[in-house]
Amino acid sequence: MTGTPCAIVGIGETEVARRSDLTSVELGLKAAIAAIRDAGLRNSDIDGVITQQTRANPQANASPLLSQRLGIQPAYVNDISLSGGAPSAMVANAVAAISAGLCSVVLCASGGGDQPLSREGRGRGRLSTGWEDFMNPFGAAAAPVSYALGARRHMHAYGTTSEQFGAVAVACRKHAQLNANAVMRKPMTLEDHQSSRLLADPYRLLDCCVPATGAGAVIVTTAERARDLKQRSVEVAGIGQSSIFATLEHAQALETSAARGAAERAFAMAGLTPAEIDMAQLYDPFTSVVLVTLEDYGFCAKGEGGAFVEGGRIELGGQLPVNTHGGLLSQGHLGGIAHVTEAVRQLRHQADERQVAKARTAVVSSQCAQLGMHVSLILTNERVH
Amino acid sequence: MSDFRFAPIENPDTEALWAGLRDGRLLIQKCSACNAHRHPPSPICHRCNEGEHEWVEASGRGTVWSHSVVHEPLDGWPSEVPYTVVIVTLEEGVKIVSNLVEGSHEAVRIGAPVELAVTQGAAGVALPRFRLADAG
Ligand SMILES: [Zn+2]
Repeated sequence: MTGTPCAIVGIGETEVARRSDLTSVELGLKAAIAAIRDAGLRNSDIDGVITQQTRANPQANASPLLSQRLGIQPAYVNDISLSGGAPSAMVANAVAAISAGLCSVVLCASGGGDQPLSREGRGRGRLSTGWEDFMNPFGAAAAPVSYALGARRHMHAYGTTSEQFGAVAVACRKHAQLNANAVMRKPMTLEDHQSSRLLADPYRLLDCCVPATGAGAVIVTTAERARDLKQRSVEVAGIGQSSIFATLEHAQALETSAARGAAERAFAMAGLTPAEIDMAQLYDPFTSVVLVTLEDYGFCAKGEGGAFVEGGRIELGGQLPVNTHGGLLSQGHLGGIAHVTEAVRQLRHQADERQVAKARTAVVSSQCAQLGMHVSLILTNERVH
Repeated sequence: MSDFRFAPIENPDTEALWAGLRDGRLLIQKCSACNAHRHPPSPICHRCNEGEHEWVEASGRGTVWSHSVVHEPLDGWPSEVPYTVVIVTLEEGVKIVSNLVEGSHEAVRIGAPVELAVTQGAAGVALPRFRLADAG
C-alpha cells in the first residue's frame, strides 16, 4: 500500500475534439470543476493542485494559475512536465504529498491535449537536451519516427507483425465506438489497418494516435476521507515509476521499456499479480507500445505480446480488456489523463455499455521519453488498506 | 537543412562536434577518467560523472541498430520523402541517431554495416550521416 492510503474520489473530462478554440488552461479549468463536482466537493475543499504541462501549450506556473482561476489558495501546488508520463505521475505526486502531510485533497488536472506543436520562436537559448540538436536535424524527432525505431526492434527480436500491431488499433476502435466522447468512432477492420498508408515504417497511419484537444482531471484524497464522499471510492493500491533513459542514444533495448521496472514496483506495493488485474488502460501513442507494455507488465511472456493481442483477447469480453475508452489511438490524444478517468469510471461500474463486468482492479500506464520513463498505477474498488 | 527550425544550434557542449563535422570528421567525447565514450556531448561523463574529457575522432564505422523509412513529411519536416532514419551503433560503442544518405534506404537491415558520410549543408551546418558499407 501507499504511505498514506489514498483514493481517487472525483473525475472530470471535457469534450474531446480535433480542434478547440479554448486554451489549455481553460480546458484544464473545465475538467477540474467537473472533477470537483463529481466528487461532491467544493472548490474550497481542495488544498493541493497539480497540473500537467503539455508540450503543445506549455504554461509557466500553471498550477498557481489554475488555483487562482478556481478561487482557491492551496497549501501545495506542483507542475509536472513529463508529457505522456504526467497523468499517473500527477496521481503519484498527489499520494506522496498527502503521505508527507503537505495537503489532503489534491486536484490533478491535465492540460489541453496534444495538438501539433507550433515551432514559431522556438529554438533559441535552449539547452542541448538531445531532441532538438540530435533528432530534429535528421527528421527523427516526430513521434511516429522515433517510436517506429522501437517497433522495428521488437519485430526484429520476436518476429512481431504489422497485423499484430493492427489488432491493437482494431480493439481501441471497437471500444471508441462505445464511447460518445471519442473522436474516431467509424468502424475499422484489420484490412483497413493493413491498407492504410505507411508513415514511418513499420507504422501505418492507423498505428498512430489521433491528435485531439480536451482535458481531464481527478481528485485524490485519503482512503479514509474517501469513504464519506459521494462516489464509490477507488483506492490507489500500487504506484511504480521507472526512468531508464531520456534519449534514444542511451537506450539499451527498445523491445522492452521502463514499464518493466515501474510495473514490478507497482505490483509489489499492491500485493497483486497480473493475473488478478481485470483491465488495463495503457498509454498508446502507437500500437506497438501497448504490446511492449503488456509484456513488460507480465500479462504475457516477453516476445509474446504479438500473439497476446490477437483473437480479441484485449477487447471487451476478452481476457484482459485494454483501453476500454478507445485510448489515444481512437478516443484522441489527451496526454493520457483519460486512461486514469476511464479506469476510475470502470471501477465505479459507471461505464455503461462498455463496462467490464464485475471489474475490481485496473492498471493504468503513463509514459514519456519514448519507452524510457514509465509510471504505473494499480487501482481497485475494494478496500486494500 | 536550411530551415533554421531543424538546424542544430551550437553551444559550449557541442561546438567541437559541429566544428569537426565541418572538417568532415565525427568527434566524440572520451572520458579522461574512465575512458567511456559518449554521445550526444554532455558536460560530464554519465558513467563516472567526471568532466575531464578529450575529443577523439570516431572511425566512422558502425552497424544499424534500428531503422525507419519515413514516407511522409511529419511534424513540419521540410525535406523530401522518403528518407531513412537510423540508429547506428558506432565501433566505439556509442549510439547515434542519423540518416542513411539518399538512395540506400531499400536495403537497410538491422546489423547492416555502415560508414560515415558527412553531409555539408546550407548555412555552415554539417551533419553526420551514414551510407551502407556494401553500397560504398
Ligand atoms: Zn567517465
